[in-house]
Amino acid sequence: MAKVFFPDHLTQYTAGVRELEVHAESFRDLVAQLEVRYPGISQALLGKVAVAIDGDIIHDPFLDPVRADSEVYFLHRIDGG
Amino acid sequence: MSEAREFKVVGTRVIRPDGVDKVTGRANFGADFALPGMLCGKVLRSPYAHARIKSIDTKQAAAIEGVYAILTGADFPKVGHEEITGGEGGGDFADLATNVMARGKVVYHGHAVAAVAATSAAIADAALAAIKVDYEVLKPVMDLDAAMADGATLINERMFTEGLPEKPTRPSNVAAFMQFKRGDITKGFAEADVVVEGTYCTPTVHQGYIEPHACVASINQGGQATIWCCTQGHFDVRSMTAKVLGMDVADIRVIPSEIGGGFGGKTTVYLEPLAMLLSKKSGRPVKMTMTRDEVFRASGPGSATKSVIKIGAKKDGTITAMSAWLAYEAGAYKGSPMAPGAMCVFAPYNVPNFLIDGFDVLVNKAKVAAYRAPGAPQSMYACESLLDDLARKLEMDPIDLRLKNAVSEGCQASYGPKFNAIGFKECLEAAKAHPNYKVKLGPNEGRGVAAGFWFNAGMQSSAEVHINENGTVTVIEGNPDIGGSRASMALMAAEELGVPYDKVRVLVADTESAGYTNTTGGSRVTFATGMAVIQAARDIIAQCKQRAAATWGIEVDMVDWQDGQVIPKPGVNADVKPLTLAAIAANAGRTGGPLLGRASLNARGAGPGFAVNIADVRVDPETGKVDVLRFTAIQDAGKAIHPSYVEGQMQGGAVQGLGWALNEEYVYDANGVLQNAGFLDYRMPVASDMPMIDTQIIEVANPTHPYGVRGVGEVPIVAPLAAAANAVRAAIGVRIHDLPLSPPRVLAAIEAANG
Amino acid sequence: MSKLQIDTQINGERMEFLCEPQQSMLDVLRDTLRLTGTKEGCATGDCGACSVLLDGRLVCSCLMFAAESAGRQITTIEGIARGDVLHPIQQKFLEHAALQCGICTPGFVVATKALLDENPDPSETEIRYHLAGNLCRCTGYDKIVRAVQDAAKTLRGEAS
Repeated sequence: MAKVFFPDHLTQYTAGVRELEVHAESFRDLVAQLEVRYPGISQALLGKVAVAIDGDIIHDPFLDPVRADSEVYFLHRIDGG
Repeated sequence: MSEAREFKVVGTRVIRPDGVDKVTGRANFGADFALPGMLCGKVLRSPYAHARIKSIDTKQAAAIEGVYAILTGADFPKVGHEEITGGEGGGDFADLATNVMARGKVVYHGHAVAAVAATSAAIADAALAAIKVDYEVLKPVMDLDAAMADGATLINERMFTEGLPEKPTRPSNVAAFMQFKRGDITKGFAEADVVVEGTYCTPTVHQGYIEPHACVASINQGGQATIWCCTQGHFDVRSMTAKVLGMDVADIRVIPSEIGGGFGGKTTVYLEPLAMLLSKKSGRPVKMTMTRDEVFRASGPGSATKSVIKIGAKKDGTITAMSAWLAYEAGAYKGSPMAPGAMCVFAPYNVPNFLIDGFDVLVNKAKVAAYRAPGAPQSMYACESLLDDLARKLEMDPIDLRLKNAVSEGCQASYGPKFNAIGFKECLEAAKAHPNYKVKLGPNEGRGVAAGFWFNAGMQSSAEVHINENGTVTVIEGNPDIGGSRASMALMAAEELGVPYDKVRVLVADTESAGYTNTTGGSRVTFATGMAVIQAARDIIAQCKQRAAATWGIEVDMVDWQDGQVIPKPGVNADVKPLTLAAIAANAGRTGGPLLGRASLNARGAGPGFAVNIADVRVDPETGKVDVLRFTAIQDAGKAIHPSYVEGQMQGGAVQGLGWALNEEYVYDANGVLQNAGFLDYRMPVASDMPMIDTQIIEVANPTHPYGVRGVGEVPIVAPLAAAANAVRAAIGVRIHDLPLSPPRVLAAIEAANG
Repeated sequence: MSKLQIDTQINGERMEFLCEPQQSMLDVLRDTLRLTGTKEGCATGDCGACSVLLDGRLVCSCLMFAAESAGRQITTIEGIARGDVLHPIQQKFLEHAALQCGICTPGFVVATKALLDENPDPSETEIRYHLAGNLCRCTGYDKIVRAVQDAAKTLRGEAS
């Protein structure tokens, strides 16, 4: 089961839950499952956040695979200058 | 995956392919372009920092002979609120559109109110002078304290702070609040043997690129448009111009010129939508350039900030808790880099308990734009300065204090995920071992150490590799070359294809010729576009193997690519001579057509970058002037594709950071008018201010890049601020918290300390 | 106001142009004569991107009236290379990676020529002070100074 971590600004959707285990094959799949559990959260995730899957940051994730033992962190998007 | 390998050309100090044009003045920058029939466009700018526009009368101006078009906010379509994806601080397209041309209200001195296109600059100036604007002047809000105070004048009466635990009922100048926490800081501080605290302010600063914004826009009667401009990201110029004007991106071709510096300040649009609409109205091409005065007043500076930091640690230096209160000025529209600043502030350290509160605050100043590692220099300046005081209190070497708490592979970053391979400890060890760290100092001299960090970006890049009929190579990519990236792309293509560097040409192509590519910025080009170039080269290799195998009448899995040629695998019985890239290219027409390799990707796994800086200064006790005697920049680059240009980033960022620390600041009067909108009084470092900048490149390979590359462009500006401040502290014996450490402030601190 | 007719020499070539009395040399070089190698960074004489030589003397062309060039010799960046051979200053800037974005480079090359014409063996301090009128935001000046030192060596006939 992948471990999913929510930063503080997303905990408003999860009723304060900061850590969750989810079985998902991809980021899209993960968001769909989170939406079932926390309706409304997907609109704060899809196209809005970056994600770190096993330490690799992905900007605008969607089809990116999530492994059975992945650690997933949602992050504010950073572009740089 | 990165391969530990011996490189043939990568890592060599070749001459950049665009270099001859740049040393002879042939290279075309933004203002060097001209078209027949071109008009001169100019902007009328607000004389007030905060005012309502009651009316604009352009009749007199329109009657001037030679004036072909006039614009005000009324000529622009309404743009709905939509988040600008990418960009640090939740910028909004509606705000971008209003920033480009005011609608109903001006919110900073210099805000565009009208624009004209005329047959000469003199006539355009006369037209601007003839435009009558009636303002209702409002009180300007010019700093964080004023903006955040109860009862503050509101810049946007419909702004309600986002991100608060409870939805606010009253509007505010605070656009957003963000919090990051871990553990329990009350417990953490209680466990500490020593607790230190400090408040630090940094001023509004400018990226200081030497080339002002410039563009030519031309739209024909069929709605097909071309923009020539200097920019870090021409695909963003296309999408932003399209958004502001309600155009289709397919109707806009953006051709990037060479760019004379950006540092984040050229990742947005100011003139392009104006020039485009003036071109539409006039039926002629329109050229617009900013004067230096306009660049300072009306482009996007870097945020002024206030940071309150608290650190608790055990006697042996182990950090038990850290807290940060960080307020960033966004300028007149929301979107400061508060979030990345908050995510970076404690990033180099293992902190079991922390609390970070961040505020994005409106003030009546120009909307801020990205500035090299946006947000990080300001917040890390504060933390790295306080760590220095902590080291002093614990009587610990400042490098040892950092080593005690340094993150390494497997540690959890303060912003969430676990780090993969990183080089912070290696940089610290290198700093400790560096001969510059042991140089004896004299009277009034001091040494300061600081760490820097930046995430570095991945994002989208496209690349094509074309093999010419004689086996030479053309690489086509879409990143304006701001610091030698063509050379790095050529090196990576040459390495992969096994051809000499001088057989490779690199073209930075426009939006209709290059595949979609994100901006040159975010320290992403060598990493992400480099990855695309390598993949496109590997696509060529796959095609070559196919062509050779077919030519030899054997299966493609029976051949290998080695040293620039296809050979049969060992053990394969084929009496053939190896086929070079050139030989396959010469025959390409007979074996399937031209050799064209391509790749496009959304690069994941950009490797975070760390740096450690050592600054030695001498302070003149009579004048407060700070001289930099010695500066050492040590940074993990993963793999330096072209070491000279990696060193160049480290040196340039160091001097920019030193300027920020020692002299640069925007000075406003009580009415919110910028007083020092020129290079004379916005005092950036000159050659005589600086010593040689000693560099040491550390290479801890980034596993997600084929060659181990980490971005290097932004990290260098982060640590110099605190390194300089810590050096001054050591030299004069008293801590100055607010930047810049200009002579009057240093002198005042010395005199106050002497009583 | 009628235009002035100005007769001058630019990079060894006789040139004639019309200009307004108040037009700067920089504007005429770039807009009238289409010699765009000389750059405008500030138009107030603070950045040196517009550096040219006036009878061999280093000046900011933004601070000079175009009319002042009458009867005099102007050298711009376009006149530094000899035919198809780069000047050693230009060659050393390339070898030392003394440019990143390149916008300040024409000004630095011209300013360096003025320095080395007058002082063939400058110290590091002399180089830095002579070039203090040329702003660079990208390089931090380190590699520029090294390029100038190396160019000076080459021009003195010493191996580098």
